[in-house]
Amino acid sequence: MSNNRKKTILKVIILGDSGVGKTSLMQQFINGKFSQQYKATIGADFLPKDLTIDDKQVTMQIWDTAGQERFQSLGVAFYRGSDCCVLVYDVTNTKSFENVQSWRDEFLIQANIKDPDNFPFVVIGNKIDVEENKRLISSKKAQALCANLGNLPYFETSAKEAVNVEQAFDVVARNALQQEESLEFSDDYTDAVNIHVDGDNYGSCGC
Amino acid sequence: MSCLQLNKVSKPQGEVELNLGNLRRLREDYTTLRNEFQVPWNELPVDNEYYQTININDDHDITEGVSKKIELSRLRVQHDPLSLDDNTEHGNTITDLQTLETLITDVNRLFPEMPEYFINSLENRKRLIRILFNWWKLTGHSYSQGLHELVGLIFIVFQKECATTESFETVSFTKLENQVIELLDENFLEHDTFNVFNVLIGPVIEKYYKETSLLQETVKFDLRLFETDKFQYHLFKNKLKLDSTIWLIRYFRLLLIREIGVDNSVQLWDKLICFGYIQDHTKIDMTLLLPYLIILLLSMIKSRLIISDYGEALFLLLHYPIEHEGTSKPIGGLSLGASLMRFTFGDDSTKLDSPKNSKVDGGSYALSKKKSTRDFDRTRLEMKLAKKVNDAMKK
Repeated sequence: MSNNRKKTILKVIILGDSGVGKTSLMQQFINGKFSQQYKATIGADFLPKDLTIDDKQVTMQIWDTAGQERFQSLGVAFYRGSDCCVLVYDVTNTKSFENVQSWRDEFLIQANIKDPDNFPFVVIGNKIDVEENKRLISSKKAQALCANLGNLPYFETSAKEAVNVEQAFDVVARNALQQEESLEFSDDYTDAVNIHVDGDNYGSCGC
Repeated sequence: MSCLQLNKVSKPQGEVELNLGNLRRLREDYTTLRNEFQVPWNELPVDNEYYQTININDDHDITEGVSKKIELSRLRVQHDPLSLDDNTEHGNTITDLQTLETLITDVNRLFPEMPEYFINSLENRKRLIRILFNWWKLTGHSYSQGLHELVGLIFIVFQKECATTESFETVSFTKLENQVIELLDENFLEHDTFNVFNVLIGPVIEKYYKETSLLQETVKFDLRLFETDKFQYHLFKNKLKLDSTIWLIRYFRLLLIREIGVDNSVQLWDKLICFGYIQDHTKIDMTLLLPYLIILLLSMIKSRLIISDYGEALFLLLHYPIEHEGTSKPIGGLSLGASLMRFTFGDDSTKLDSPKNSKVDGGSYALSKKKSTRDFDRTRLEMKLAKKVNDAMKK
């Protein structure tokens, strides 16, 4: 079991189609700022943030990934060790919504998750600041998808106007922590028992 | 590659002329290609800023050509069972419209630090999209993010040198001057960018844009790092347990544009092209020196990497300090461009793990080749402790 003094590190990975606002969400959450022109992410980017969750100090490592990339053998390098996965789509882009499930499936395969049914995902519908007539995915439709995928937590955000970003990442952090702690427990439980078979001790009791 | 050569022809009278025959032919080829593969702007939503109708000649009389010979034109096969290309996404063929939409997403956010070139110029964005669209059509390679930055850099260089021929119409020039104007003709900016991109990008695609090759190149890089600087290798592999692929993918695919900035990249590309040409003038490979340049970049932040944990090291690698310190401000007393040049083309006294260069980042770390990784670990521990003390004192 990890030492109490050791800081807990939570790895959170953000997935979703190109241009849905993954980098903007990450920047808004970490730095509290928004820019219209973030460059396309090549491979992955990474930002850390220190948080306190219920008096526990944690460092959240947020991994922003390239939306166009469908990694095959490289996916393992990026996804391995994740404690939570954020699936992002753009409420004005139907295709990005339709791809949410494929991103989830791909993550589960590539990250080699031991217990896929209980791995924490959070779904985010971004860009709700747009005019209502440009919005193509209703809340109801998105909620139905999340229910279908195993009652995944769902948030509608605007990285541009900082709407719901904190709230979404608070849930992400809590779920990631829970996942990390459950893994820690299962690691302890499955720790190999050291059996001493050295000649000197073998066959003698400790009395 | 020889098709891009502009050979000087010295006339007996001492006159100098450029041989623009190859260039003219390439420009014609691109014009033909552009006419054959129309970008489907018309399939975009009408309110999209890129939307435009296709030029159809309504005056055309369908009976006109009946008695004439029909001129054959090429058509691209949509589903070629023998094709080895990777134009598929989850088993489905990528459509022209999907490619166009992907290109628009990327080109719309190209070089935000220089908005005058693309973000504020719809015309330039359209040109770049046409180039990438036609390149995809011609070669069959799928478009991947990152290629837009490489072609964008070539476009910027050519646009800076462009000449508007209209402004010279009333002036009389010598033949050579006219040839130079023709060479720099703004009307062929798109053509020339396409042709240079098409020639230079081949080895980059082969090595870094295919996943298997990228993994191979990463392994090769690790071996080179081990040979060049065993302590850095030991730090990455054994202490930090860093998977090089995570950060190398961007260094490789963008040829360091993000790490050293556009201006430095232009200077660097000149040298890389020259070096590639010297090695093999039939196929210019700009990537030959790239792994060594990356090793040099690592050496410049070595003292910071040594005292980092996994997260800090990865952050440093993915946000190479040049961006924060500005291109004009030297790192550790050496300008980045000058350092790369000196290392690559000239001063071979540069040894990456020599005590002199390990101090390049202003740190005090120095280890000779004779020392062991154990000594390195001890030094690292001392440096980390010193950092902790410093941090505590500041608080």
